[in-house]
Amino acid sequence: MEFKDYYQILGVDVDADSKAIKSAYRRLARKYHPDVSAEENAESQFKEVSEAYEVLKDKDKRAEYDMLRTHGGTDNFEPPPDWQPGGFQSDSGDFQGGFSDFFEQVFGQAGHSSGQGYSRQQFVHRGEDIELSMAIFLEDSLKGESHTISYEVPSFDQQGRLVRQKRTLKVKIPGGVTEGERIRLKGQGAPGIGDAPDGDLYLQIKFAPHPLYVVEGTSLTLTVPVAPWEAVLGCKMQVPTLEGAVSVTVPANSQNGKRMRIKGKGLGKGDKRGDLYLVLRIVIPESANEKEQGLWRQMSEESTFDPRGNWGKTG
Amino acid sequence: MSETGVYLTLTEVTQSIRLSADTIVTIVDCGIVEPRGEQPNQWLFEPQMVSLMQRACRLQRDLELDWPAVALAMDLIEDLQRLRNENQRLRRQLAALMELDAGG
Repeated sequence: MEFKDYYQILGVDVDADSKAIKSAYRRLARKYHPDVSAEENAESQFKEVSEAYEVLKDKDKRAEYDMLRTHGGTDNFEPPPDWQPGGFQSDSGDFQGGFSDFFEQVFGQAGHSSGQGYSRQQFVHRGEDIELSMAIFLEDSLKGESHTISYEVPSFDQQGRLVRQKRTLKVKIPGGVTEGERIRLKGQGAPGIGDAPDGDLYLQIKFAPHPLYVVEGTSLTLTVPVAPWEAVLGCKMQVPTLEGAVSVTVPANSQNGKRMRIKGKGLGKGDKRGDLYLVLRIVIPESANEKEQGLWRQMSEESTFDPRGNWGKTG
Repeated sequence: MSETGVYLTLTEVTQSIRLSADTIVTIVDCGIVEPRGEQPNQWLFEPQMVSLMQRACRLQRDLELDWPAVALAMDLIEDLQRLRNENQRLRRQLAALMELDAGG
């Protein structure tokens, strides 16, 4: 087992006082807290930091830890054979996974057969709620598809040890869900202990990025490439929506970036159904043949249009 | 099987996330969530509020904050999230509108 250098994790000296440890923890906690941080691996970083703080802030635990540390903190750490885990219960357990194996070896864990943990019979509480994020395709969000999900629930085995149980569930996602919406599946969280009820499972909906549409709430935006003559003369065209193509008319003299709305072709359902917005993007051909070039040239000679007319006249 | 738009009472919330009623009253007093109903025994929480309260408690405990600071942090996190989403959306939209000169 890997020996955890808690002093190194917090970036403090071995003889740091409790004030220095506290401020180091606070700084790192702000940086890595999964609710705040955009850093990669924020959650695992935060877990390490809070585990280190859990030990170093407590005089007794720190003394125990220091003793082990001086007895040779190596990569192949095994606690001394006569080591008694402290029967300590963590109060930071709602990040999935809890503390490291190293921590549990040294300080014990509620429920372990150290003689000081809780047994199943004495201990009754409702199972924990579990939150999962679930990616779905925009196309699937409208119809209400069934999805099979797999996740792990923490539970206690016969000996009262914490184990992770794999669970597979078929879930029907209601039609018209939107990004960030939470779906509650009653009783599908962690099992309750004793006679207490099971926790719930919450699924938070996330949309997989779509190659065509940009999502904002229930609105979709589609960028539509148009040829210069289509923008000038106007045209009819087919545009893709989540439910098949629809016909739209681009009015004459449409500017680049013009936004057009197709009502009720966004996300959501019923009277909450959003709209699809088309944004025109005028594109020009990669190359022009001689005849085309001639036409453009003719246009440039005939036209009185001055695209920079409003810049004002300088020297 | 799925439930959306289900409200939870104060008692149900205390059971669901193991927070004391006092803590929840403090959270509501700070305006971190605004349940329906006037008195605590009439309060009805949306499921989203439960996860907001859990987040509030994590911040309070892990960052050793007082509750008004938690409320401020929650507001800022929400703003940040909104701005990140908006930024991401605008970037995607911009990328679709402009052909960035890859050749440099």
